[in-house]
Amino acid sequence: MKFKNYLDSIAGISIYPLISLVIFVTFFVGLLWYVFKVSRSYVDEMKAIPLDDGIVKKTVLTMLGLFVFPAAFAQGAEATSYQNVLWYTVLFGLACVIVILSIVMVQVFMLYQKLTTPQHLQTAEVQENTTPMFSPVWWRKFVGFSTPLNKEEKILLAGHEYDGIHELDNRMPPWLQFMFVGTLLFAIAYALYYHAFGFGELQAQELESELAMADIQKKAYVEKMGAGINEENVALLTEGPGIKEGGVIFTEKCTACHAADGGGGVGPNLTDDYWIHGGDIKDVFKVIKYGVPEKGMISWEKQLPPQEMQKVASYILAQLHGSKPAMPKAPQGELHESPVEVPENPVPQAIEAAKQ
Amino acid sequence: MSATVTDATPSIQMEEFEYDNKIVRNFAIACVVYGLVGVLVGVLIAFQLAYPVLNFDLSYTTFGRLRPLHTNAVVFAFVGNGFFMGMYYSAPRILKASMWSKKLSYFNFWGWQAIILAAAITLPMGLTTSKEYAELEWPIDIAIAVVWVAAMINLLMTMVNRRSEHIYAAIWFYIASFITVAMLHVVNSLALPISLFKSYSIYAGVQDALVQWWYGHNAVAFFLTTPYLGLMYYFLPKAANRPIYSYRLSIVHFWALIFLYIWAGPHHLLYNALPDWAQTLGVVFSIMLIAPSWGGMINGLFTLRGAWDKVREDVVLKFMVVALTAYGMATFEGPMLSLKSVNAISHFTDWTIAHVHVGALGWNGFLTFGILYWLIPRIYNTSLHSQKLANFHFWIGTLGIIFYAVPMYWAGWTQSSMWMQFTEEGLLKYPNFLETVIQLVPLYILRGIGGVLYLVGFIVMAYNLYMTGRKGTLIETEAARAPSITSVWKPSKDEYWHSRTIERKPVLLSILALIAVAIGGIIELVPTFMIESNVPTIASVKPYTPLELQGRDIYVREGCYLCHSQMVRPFRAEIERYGEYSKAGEFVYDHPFQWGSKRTGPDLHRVGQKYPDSWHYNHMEDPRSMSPGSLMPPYAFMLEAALDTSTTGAKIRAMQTLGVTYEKGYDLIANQELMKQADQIKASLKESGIETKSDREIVALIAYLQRLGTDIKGNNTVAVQSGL
Repeated sequence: MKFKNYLDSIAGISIYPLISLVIFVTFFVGLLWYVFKVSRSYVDEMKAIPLDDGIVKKTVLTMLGLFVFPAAFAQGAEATSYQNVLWYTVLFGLACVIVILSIVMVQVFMLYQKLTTPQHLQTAEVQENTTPMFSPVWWRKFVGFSTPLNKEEKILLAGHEYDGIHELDNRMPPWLQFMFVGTLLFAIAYALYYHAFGFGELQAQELESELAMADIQKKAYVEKMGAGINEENVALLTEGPGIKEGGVIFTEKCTACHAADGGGGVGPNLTDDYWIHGGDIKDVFKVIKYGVPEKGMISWEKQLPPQEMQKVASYILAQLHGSKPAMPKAPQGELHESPVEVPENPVPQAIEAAKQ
Repeated sequence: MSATVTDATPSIQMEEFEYDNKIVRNFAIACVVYGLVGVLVGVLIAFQLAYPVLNFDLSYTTFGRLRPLHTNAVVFAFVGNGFFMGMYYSAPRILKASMWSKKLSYFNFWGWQAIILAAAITLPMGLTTSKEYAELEWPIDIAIAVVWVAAMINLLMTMVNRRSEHIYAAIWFYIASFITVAMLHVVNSLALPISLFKSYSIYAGVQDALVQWWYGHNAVAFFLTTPYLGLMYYFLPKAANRPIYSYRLSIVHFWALIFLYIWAGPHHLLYNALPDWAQTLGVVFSIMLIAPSWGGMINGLFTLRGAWDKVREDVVLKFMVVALTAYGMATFEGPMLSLKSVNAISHFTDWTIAHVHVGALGWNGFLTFGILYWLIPRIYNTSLHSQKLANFHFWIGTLGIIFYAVPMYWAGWTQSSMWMQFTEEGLLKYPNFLETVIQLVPLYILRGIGGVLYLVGFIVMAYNLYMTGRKGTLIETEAARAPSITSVWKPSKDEYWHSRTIERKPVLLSILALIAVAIGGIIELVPTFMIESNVPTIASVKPYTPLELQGRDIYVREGCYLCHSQMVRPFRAEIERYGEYSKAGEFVYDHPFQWGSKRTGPDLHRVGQKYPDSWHYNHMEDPRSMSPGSLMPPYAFMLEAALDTSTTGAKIRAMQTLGVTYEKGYDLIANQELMKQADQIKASLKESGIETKSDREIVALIAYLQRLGTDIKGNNTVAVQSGL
């Protein structure tokens, strides 16, 4: 029952609605085109095809087939390892193929029966006596049509007539009865599984397992990638694409409170030399990471990876700080003398340093 | 007729009586008119979710106030009047008797229309209890109970005074619906009034949620399903001119359906702060419902055996077949959505919206249309104005359903997937909730188009029926003759037991139905109220301050719960996004609960202290200033509206009566406390350069929002100790 976790790994999800839209619109445009194009005589021909119980039969079969899908889902959930979507899809596809094949097989079988049975034997009584199990007669009974249409008067209930409505005394369709018994058994098994035997995880344990699994994954990732940036070792970026990316993040996440030009609003002005919680790169990084909940600055630790927080912090210090916003908010906090000397022109300085 | 009349002997007394068609016509008009209104409001709010400007900057037309209007109009006005229409036509004919009291029939009609009118006025005014599909305030609730029970008595007495030997299946469904809805409505609406238009639910938190969804789920069952199954049992065999497929199936599926349905309510609260045992009951009873639900569909579809060629020609049957198919799909999907693993994905998303609309547009809508097309020409003694228009209605309506449902299924999956996706670093891939909403806007537009298609079909039908009525003349009363019941009463020993006992005894039938529907409710509700371990208390959870309480009532008034849940489910993705998951003990002072059932906006249970006061102030004035692209309606009117503090004392006293632990005499100093807290918020807003007065509604709302979920912040040990 860990179905929900399979969604964790579907990457690039944002394209789905667009794909769905395209499929959807294409389908309907195609349908419309077909409808306008189709010839009158073809429509009349289709209209004249006699409808008998075959339609109902197919519908019921398809519905029964639908039951195979949840079963396949459950199978997939138990049998495959965590996040193995491919295997899961294959199972689903297999189930579909099996269902479609069995529908086709039954239809072919019924057609074969119809064609090979001599005309004079095609009465219900004869078939009932001579045909083997899983014959069309068996199927008809299973579906719920054991009494043929022309014998209906036999099972018409006497004394049950309501404003012209009569009632037949057909037995309940066996498949529906089996389904009912099946769901009752499922219900008992489900309750025992979770509450009597304690096999299933109740929601609190389920969460614990989920968090434990996430921890393992996170640790594996850190081991692979090496330790990340934190407030102890963060360095100011002064050039390169990092600053620009920081600006993009700033525009997206920060402007609601600090204004697009950093002049402040709900939050403080970021362009002046006054800082409430320190104006060092490490200080700014820390404020972004943990937030200042009592003053309303939210924590971004869970929303931004460390590299991105470094980029935003650098963008603020290297780009916004010292600029002239349109509507600056009054300074707040303490004066912080040029937190880090941002060199006017870092490249020549670096060259000089290298020379020495 | 044939059996009894041809057996006529001199001892048979023929009695004369009449069928009243005028009441049927009245309900039909009400059904069509309110149906149009309901769908129209639905289309408007559908587009509001894509274009917030359609909230018109007015308090009366915000999504939060119109959505209850939409649901109430469709459920109680459209389907309700549709049911009464069909019942007043079919019940007298099945029972061979006039309705017991013509006065009660017309009291039912005018009373019901008055209730709908009251709903249409009070809901946009924000007078609401915030309990979904039971939003109406207590005076209207009392009126509903009176009118409903009057209609029930009328039907029951008609059953007693009938001229048919047995009672037909359609009537079983009618009477079971009446009994159950009366029970659900009364229990769920119990509230303590503090003024003419404001009351507090007597239940709190978990218990309120359980009672509400016991009601909510079974309102679907006994207002939208069983009455319409009854209609199906009459109008489908009439329209197809075929005998009902299986009498035995109708017995088994009737009793199984009403007994099992009641239990399934908790499936609306899976993974919520509800005891595990209750959730399990919700799951297993939903699964067991598949076959009994399908019994109705099968009995309908198999009745058409040998008449499928008629389906091709007859637009009435076409509507009915699609209705039954939609019913079959919805009643299969429902149990699937009740499986916890599927529900984890579907809950709070548009998947649920798609699901209910397959039921409402397909099953209720199409069955109503089928009945109208069959019935109106008959009572006007003419033929339908235009078969072509009716066929057009059928196809555009079907297209409308598909255009509605498909985008909503995609939207549900998409959003749920985005909520749950993590990056390799172990962070949420879409930490900003807004990203997951903006993604859905194109789908919301498509859904709106689906609604427009459905509406066009509806308008065409209204025109078609109007022209039909003009062409003919209403047969106001229809004379009928039937032998008296004593002359047809021939019980025999070898009669099938169900016919012999239950179908001959209307009162016994009603009592047994009441017992069948009462069992599930009692077993689920009573333990939740009596056994304390089901709601472990948390010491740090305190009652709301007077200002927060006032703010909470504004939250209720604006219907915030319709788009924002207050229920962080115990999933990694939700804890990461919102914070600690919600505990049952946190809601003990919540009269009524505000867990919500849909997240068009983010969960708010842990929003307290997350943003500064000024953020909320600006966000309420114009949500898009703080969250660009947001779909939320603006609430600028709250910035100006003065808070009504005259009710504070009464509210505190009501809460005390309901068991909230305010000190004695607190109601007297409540307003002083309120002003003190309001001044603090005013000062904090001023620090951010916002000038406001302390007695504005916005201040109270901010106080409530900042309190939400903070009682156990940094205090998880308490929660752990209490067993959660």
